[in-house]
Amino acid sequence: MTRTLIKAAWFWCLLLTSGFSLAEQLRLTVYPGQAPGSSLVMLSLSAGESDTVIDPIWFDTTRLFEISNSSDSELIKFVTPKAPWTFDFGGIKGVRQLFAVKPALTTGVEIVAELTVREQRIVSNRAKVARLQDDFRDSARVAILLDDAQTLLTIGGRLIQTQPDQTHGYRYRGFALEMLGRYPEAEEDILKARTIFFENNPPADADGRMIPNWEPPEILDRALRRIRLAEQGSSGGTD
Amino acid sequence: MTIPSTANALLAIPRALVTLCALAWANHASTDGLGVPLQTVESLDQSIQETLQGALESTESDYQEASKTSDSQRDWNYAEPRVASEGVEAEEDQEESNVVSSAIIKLKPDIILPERSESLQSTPESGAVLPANSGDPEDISDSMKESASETSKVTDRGSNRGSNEEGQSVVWVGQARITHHNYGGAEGLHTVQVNHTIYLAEVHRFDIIGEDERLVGQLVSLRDKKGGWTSFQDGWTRSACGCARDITEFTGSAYGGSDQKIVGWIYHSMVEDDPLGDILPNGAYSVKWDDISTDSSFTSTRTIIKCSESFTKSQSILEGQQAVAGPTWSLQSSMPIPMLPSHDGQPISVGRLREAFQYYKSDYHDQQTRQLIDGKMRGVYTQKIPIATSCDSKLREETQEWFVQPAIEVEPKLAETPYRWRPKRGDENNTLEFTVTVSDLPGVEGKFRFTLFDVTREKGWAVNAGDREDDALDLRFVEDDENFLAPKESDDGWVLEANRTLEEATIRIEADDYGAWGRLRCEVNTGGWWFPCVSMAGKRYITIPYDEDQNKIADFWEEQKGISGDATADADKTPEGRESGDGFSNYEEYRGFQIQGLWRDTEPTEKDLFVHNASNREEITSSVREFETKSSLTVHEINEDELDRASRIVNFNRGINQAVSRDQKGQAGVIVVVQELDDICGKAASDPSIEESLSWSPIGGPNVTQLVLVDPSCLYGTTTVHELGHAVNLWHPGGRYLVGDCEDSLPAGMDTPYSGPLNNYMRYRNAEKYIGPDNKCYKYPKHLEERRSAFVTDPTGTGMNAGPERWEYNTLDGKNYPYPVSGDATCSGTLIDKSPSLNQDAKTYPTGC
Repeated sequence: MTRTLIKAAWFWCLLLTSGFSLAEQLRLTVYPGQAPGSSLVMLSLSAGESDTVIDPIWFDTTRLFEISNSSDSELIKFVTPKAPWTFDFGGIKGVRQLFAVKPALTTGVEIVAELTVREQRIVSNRAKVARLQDDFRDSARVAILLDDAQTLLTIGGRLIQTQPDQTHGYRYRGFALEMLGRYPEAEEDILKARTIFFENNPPADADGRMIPNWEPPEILDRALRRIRLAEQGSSGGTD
Repeated sequence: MTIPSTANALLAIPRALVTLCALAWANHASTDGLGVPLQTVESLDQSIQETLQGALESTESDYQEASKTSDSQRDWNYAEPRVASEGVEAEEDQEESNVVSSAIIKLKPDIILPERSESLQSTPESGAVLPANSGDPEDISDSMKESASETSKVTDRGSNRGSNEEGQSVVWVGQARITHHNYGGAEGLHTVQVNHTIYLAEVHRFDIIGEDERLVGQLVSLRDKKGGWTSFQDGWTRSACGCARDITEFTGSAYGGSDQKIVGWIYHSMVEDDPLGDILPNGAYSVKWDDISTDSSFTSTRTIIKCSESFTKSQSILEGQQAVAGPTWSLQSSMPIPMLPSHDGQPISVGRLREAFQYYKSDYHDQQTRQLIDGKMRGVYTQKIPIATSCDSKLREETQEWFVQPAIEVEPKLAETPYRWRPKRGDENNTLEFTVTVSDLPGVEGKFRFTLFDVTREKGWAVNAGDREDDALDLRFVEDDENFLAPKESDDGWVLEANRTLEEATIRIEADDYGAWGRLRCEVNTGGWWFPCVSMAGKRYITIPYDEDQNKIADFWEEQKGISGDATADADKTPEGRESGDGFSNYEEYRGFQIQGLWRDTEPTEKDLFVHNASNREEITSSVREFETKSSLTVHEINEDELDRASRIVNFNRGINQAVSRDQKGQAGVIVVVQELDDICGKAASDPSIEESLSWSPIGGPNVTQLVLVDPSCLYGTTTVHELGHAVNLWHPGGRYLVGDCEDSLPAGMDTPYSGPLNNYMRYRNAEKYIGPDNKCYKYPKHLEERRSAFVTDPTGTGMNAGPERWEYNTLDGKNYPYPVSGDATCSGTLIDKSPSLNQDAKTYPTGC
């Protein structure tokens, strides 16, 4: 096992300045991505019920990630593409940080994070890097999270060429165009994806009976709503 | 608990006289009809016997009552064996009562008492366990109550002359064996052997008063307390009368429990010049008993060949037939019988006792005297009794052996398991400790033996935790006491035996499973006999934990949770739903679960759902909590190793007392996975095997829904709550798929999944289009939507789904549009108080879906 150590004191600065209460759980999520692009690691520190304010000394740590079974771990670089942000999911409060990992983590390696808070060692879950069969989804997810419109545009265009009867290409290209503010084109792609979706996933079976667990293309509908609202110069919306 | 007390002055018998403990076996062959009560032929008439009974049992109301009941069909005549006539064609032996002599027969003063039977001598390690029944644990509540009553009698009389000064019950313990060899008239041998465990309690002491109110002796009455016997028979006999032949084959075994009827007496002379010395020497004793079979399998096959005709008759003694299916023992000796009046607690005069004695004689009764030898009853004798038949003669050879010694009864008490104790897993603070004292008397030591039995062997240590291959015993003795050998494992528990005698022993027991259950008994060996400890409830064992109904659930927990009885029941009521239950039995909810690394039990009246957040996201945890709050289900988020990932079964370590609702199939949990779903936000994916069998994708409980899938871009909304609703059998509010001019869409409208209360979690939202009352397709007014925030119990539509069809002004574009008016929900499966199910496997559509 090889240990990869990075300095992440800045991550904890947010905790220091936010008056964040004592952490109770450290969760780690890996978005595998695809070489030559990046992988993403999201570290999420959720707070317990304690009102204890984090002590700055807890953040004096240089050890954060441990990657197992990686032969080139010394070459792996972690960068933070965006500032950490706090969250509150129905009372579960915490702070998150996204780490871009380059080169992308190899399939099968395991990554775990560890930090010490008030002399208490907190270890995250151990995440294993596993890629989907259609690995374009992994690349596209990383691109969406990094707001990487160009990569998403490339993926979408390639998929439209190779799988024109599938929604993926139009959806990804529509998302990319939305990022780029090209709303009419984006709406056109999303509507196209929606049409394909209904063709491929009819709500009713051959007898005309609705499929009980059929769900509508809500991701496409949301995208359409965002795009139209953006076009109108407004924002927001329910749910 | 009894203590041999040969050295005890109370029981030491200095002199010997004659009494016989005679035992007679009722020959099955001689009774022909094996279902017919076998009668022992002895030599006292009924009136004498009744009087004797009155004397010996006059104050034993319960015992006497039992005797009357069980022996109501029996001839209580005491008649001595005699030469009986037997005809080949006779259906029953014709045994007649002999004449009882009332003449005084002088006992032989010079008779030589037989040496103690070596085969029946007491040995410390081989001593029989008392009580005799060593099979299934026996509830002796009733007998113990009797015991308590007797003890009080003795204790209450402690100030009386001749009473036990220690205030302890004196018992006589030992063994006796009777062997009968019945030789056929022509050939063959039929053997019957009966082994008795004897446990006689001294019940009353009659003061015998001579002249000048002088106490000259005491007559002590004995009665059976908790003895027992086993017997077997085999062989065959044949008689022959001319050309007729009568062949009977015997086989079988039997045993009797503590309800055998044994009575007897001992005379203790207390003066040198005892005025009764000529007829009743010091130490004279007599014991007789008459057993009731409790479990017999004696059978015989009788083949009668009457010259040219043959006839075969097979009979067996059925279990529960309380006639004399087993052996019958009865008085058969030369000992005179005291004819005492019903005991009224008053002393008996010498003259009255002398007059009360009755004597009998017989050619074939035992002629030996019976007198305590070194304070013990012991002896052996053999007699041969010819039995004449109409055309030949048979021979019965009886051998009696017995060894019975006195002891002082002290019953060690085994305290019940503390009411509020429950098993845990290897928690030292949860160790049970039991201390047992041999006797209240100081200095009394014994060898202890503790036995854990009927111990559970549950897998792991909770229904979803621990080694799945583990089938070790769930209770064990703590090995840290130098007074004990290492515990030895048995099929169903452990045996812990002391390596020295102790006045008091303390043992400790630990559980290795939250559902651990077992029974504990203890025995103490003093003087070669194992005596059982008795629980406060009068039983010879206690349950661990305290569990009166022995359903494997601690009673305090049942009381605390408001349940009782069937441990396999799965009748959780809250919240309401399609049916009661959550797939976990009461026992499983008691045994408990590991939930995120910590053990906890669950409420047997509240439905529990287990969810694994496979992607470890706070958003899912938040949604699970929201789902729990709004559904009123008790939802537990568990780790990956707290359910079986392949089968999703939560109670993968289930064992005993599985939920009757699940028919041994186990109960699945819900796995929530965050993964790319492309165009949709979430999906409740049903089990492929169920889909294949139904040819459609069903909605159902956790046993139907294989996975709840949520796209990473939809974690912030109510998608997870909606899909979890599907995972407990909640449906969309309507199932109609409208087709009209709304291309490439699923338009909203009446009876569609958009119908009903707008805040229903199970409803679709934000349709692209809807079909108005004019059957035209319109753009859906999304600004009129409401956030999904509730599971609903009322199908009535709200907001834009409420009221009649109407045209209203749309603020978005300033035009009048018909309202969507999707109306009331039509699918009953969407109602939270009607549809949720945690138990179903695959069901059909609810109405209106």
